Amino acid sequence: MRRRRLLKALDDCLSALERGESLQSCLARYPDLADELRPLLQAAQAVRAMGEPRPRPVAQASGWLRFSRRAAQLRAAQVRRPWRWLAPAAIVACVVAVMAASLTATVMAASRSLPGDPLYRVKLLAEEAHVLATWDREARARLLLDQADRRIAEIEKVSARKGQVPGEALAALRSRVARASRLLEGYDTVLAQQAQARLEQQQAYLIRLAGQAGIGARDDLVATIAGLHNARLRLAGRGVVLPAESLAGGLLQVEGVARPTSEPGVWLIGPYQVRVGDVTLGDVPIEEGKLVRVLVGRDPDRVLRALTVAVVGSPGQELIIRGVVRRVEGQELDVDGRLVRLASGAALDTFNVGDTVQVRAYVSSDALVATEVRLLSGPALVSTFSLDGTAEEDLSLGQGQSTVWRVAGQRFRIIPSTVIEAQAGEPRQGAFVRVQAQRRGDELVALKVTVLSAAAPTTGSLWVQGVYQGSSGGKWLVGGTAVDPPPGASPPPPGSLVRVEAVRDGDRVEARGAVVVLGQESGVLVQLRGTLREIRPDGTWQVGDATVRVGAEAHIVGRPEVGNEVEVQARSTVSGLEAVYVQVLTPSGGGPSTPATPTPAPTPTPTPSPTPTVGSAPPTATPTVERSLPARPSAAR
Amino acid sequence: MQRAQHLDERALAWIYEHYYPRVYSYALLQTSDPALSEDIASEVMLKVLEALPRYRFRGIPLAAWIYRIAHNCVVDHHRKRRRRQEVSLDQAAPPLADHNPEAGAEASLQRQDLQRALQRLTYEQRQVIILKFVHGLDNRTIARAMGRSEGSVKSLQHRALKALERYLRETER
Repeated sequence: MRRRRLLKALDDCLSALERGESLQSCLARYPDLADELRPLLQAAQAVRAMGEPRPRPVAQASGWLRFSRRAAQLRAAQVRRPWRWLAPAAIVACVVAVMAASLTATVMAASRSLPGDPLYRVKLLAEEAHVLATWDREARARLLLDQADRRIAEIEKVSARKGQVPGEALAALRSRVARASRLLEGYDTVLAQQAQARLEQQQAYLIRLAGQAGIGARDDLVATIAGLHNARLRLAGRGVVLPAESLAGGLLQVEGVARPTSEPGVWLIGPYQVRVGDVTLGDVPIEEGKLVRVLVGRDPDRVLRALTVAVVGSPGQELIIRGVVRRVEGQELDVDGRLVRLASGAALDTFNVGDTVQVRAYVSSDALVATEVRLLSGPALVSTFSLDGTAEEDLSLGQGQSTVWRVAGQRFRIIPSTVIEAQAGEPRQGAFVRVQAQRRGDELVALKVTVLSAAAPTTGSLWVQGVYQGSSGGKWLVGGTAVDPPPGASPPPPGSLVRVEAVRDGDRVEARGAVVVLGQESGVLVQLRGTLREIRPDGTWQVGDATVRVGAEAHIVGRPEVGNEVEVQARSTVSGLEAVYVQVLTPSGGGPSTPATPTPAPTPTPTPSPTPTVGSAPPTATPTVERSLPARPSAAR
Repeated sequence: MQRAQHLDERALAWIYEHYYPRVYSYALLQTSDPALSEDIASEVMLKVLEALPRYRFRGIPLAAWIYRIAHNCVVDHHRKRRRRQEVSLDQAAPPLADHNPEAGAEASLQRQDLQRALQRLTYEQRQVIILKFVHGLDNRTIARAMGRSEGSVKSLQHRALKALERYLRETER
């Protein structure tokens, strides 16, 4: 009994000494054992004071050489000799041999099989054999990534045909991306960068699919999304893993202006508290005041953890948001989960909860602020448009008086409430300007004037952007005004946001093409203006402080080079900003851009969409078409 | 740990930088032979590297696992030495290599006394003293490293300190 007490007292005193307590205070706790404990504790203190002998640096360094050389050998062996795959390899070899000898036709059929088909397993085994026969590390990783893309295509086909998400394709996808990421881990190569982009796109597709899938498939989808995220974390060298349980409560996308909370690593995104940490990819660390789109995983305890963050906008940036009004509370609107605060003096149509609206907004330091809310249903649609063109005279403003200003052959009335934004230059003759306007009776009234660059293209090009409302008398009605349609162009679906490109040649104005920048669907169009800082091999561009993916489908006007001032109209998607329209405003040399190559504009292809619902309240503005744009300038004057 | 198991260079470098000096000092306090201890430290780190992909956390922390490998290596060398009729560990008491030349003479003498006393302990007593008071491990990790229960580690620690104190007292006389 006494011995047990002594052992306990000794252990307790040793811990106390380690914490910095004095010998006397330790012994005071055990007065009856003090004589016995004192010499033992003194001996322990003496050993502690002795310190730890250190190795000679030269010996440690030479040991490291042996160690790192051996590690390199093991690494090489790991890639060259995939022992752990030997068993499946043998099975694959047998299966492939038998099939090659007797059932060539079956193999061909298997290659076209889809998940759920009897031969699908054979297809996977044949692919596995191909992987095993590929020795080069990069080639093998590339092959696995291609196979992962194939799995996505299969999932897409099967879910469209049968309305089911095939589990075996998801499992094969998980295995392929995990192996590809392990092969590319730690290598900063072009393939590794491309892999990151491909995995991101695959993840974005599955997230969209998870939103539509039934409950039965959701767990499998969530596990695959987590697997893709972990592969991306591995490629990014994060050394952390996202457990699938962190997504057990579901996935959601949150968009809003980022505000810090008192708890480190926790941000307020719109109304949600979101943890941003090691597992968060994308535009991190988050900067306060940025408009961000965050993919959030919810764990069973309802804690929200950010998986990806994409900066969608910075303070001052303009956006067009389309969606259904879910809630109206005081000066705040909820448009499909995005909280928007109404600016005082915002131009509003009368709308109700449930109406589809188009909101023009900008990012302020703490919220999205709407300057215009227009109904996207009913006969009028959105009755404002913008015209980009060359100012033909200096804009001179009298005190509180209205004046008429000529831009690209059109006469705009500038009224006291017209907002003039002249950051890129003065609104003088020759400047390239954007006039946001509304037709009121005979006049085009300028609501806002933005100087895009001090010098305009010399070709006399102009662009009209607005919501396509329909056609009348062979003309397109865009944002309340009529424009000549480009030759041979099919009319876009009503409700689409279109950009019509025209070239002025003296008095003649010729429409050249039209681009649908935002279809009828809900979504967000971000208008970025800034310096093109970088064009990366993975297809993303750095414009100002935003990253935009510029794919083959983006319509590009001018020849963008690093250093150019550009305007990008981009859709906000799960994986960030996808450029729809890019226009060079000022070349790096400082002179005007020469955009009118002219590039053949793609003909907008109408997509089937739900019929817009008629709002319960009538729109306040009804367009009257009296003049057309673009048209011969003489007709407009 | 996962990165080290995938042979990530930075993760391996961390393990080497962190554990080579510890394994070296452990071996040196057990063998009193700096050259042999350098060999043991290199050998242990190579064994750790080879076994790392198979390491699974089953209640044994990485530190305990590495000390176990170090212990086996020291014991192997001890056996080989015995076969070659070399001086036994418990008899050997040469001064340890002191890489702190600025230490005072008195401190150096005290350290030599302590090292001599340490060498008179049994192998296991010395092991618990090194792990606990030189490397600062807790009883749980020491128990895992030695393959014993925490209770027996406490008991061994008591016996080791008692013996050490006695040997130190004898040296003073």
